[in-house]
Amino acid sequence: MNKKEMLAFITANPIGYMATVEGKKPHVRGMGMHRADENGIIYFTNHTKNVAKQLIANPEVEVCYFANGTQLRVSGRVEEVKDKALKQEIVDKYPFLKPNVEKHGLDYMAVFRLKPIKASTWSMQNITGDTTPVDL
Amino acid sequence: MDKKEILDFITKNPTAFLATAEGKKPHVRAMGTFRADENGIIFSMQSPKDVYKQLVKNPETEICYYANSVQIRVSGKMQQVTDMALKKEILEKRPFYQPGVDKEGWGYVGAFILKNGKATVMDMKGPPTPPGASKNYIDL
Repeated sequence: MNKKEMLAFITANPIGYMATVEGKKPHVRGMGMHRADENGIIYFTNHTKNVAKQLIANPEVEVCYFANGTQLRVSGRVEEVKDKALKQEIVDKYPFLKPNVEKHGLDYMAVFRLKPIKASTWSMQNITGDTTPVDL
Repeated sequence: MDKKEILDFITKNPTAFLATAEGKKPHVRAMGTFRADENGIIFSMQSPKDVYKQLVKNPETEICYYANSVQIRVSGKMQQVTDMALKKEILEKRPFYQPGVDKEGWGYVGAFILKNGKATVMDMKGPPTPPGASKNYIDL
């Protein structure tokens, strides 16, 4: 997969498993994403969540996407995005966010952008294939 | 979900997203669970893999399962298993390890067990968790 194909794969299969590190401990959970393009992958959660606290304390992440026997792992550092226009765009797209945002304001949302710097792919068609990460 | 229901769920939906920490950097990949029962959750991998080296160095792990709107996360410490009977059983079910075993011996088959993991369940069919609510942990 080239970079364009990777972004298309993530767009078509938007649920990734995001890993973070807190001290020596890894954590992982399913995370949807808002958008994946040349500017990065946009993730959203809220500031009461452990994942937001973990990302602010240590922005290193790896996210694993898996669909139709193909796995794509991307890693890098996230940066928090505080832009209200982007937060509003996300709330408009995902109405389930509305009640809490109406109650607590847009700052309640935590938005992160990942510009992946490494990627690794694996496929069930080539189970013992090379999974060494490549630079993006 | 209680302990038995969680182990059944894992047995039926064995694809785990297994996270490790290498210093400050997290890693995560899909892995098939070899077995999940009262004794723990077992994984196998080829020992030249990064995941093997990462777990030897830092056994802290979290694994995430997802199926039918239910997510289960289990965290704890992995223990390496060197038992030959288990390695033979693994090779039977994962014959693609054979060339590596022929070349490098049984050390090629890496196995870890996660004992006494702590599980947390999120059911997306139910009402959303209130902001800031603490998680419920189930001892496995």
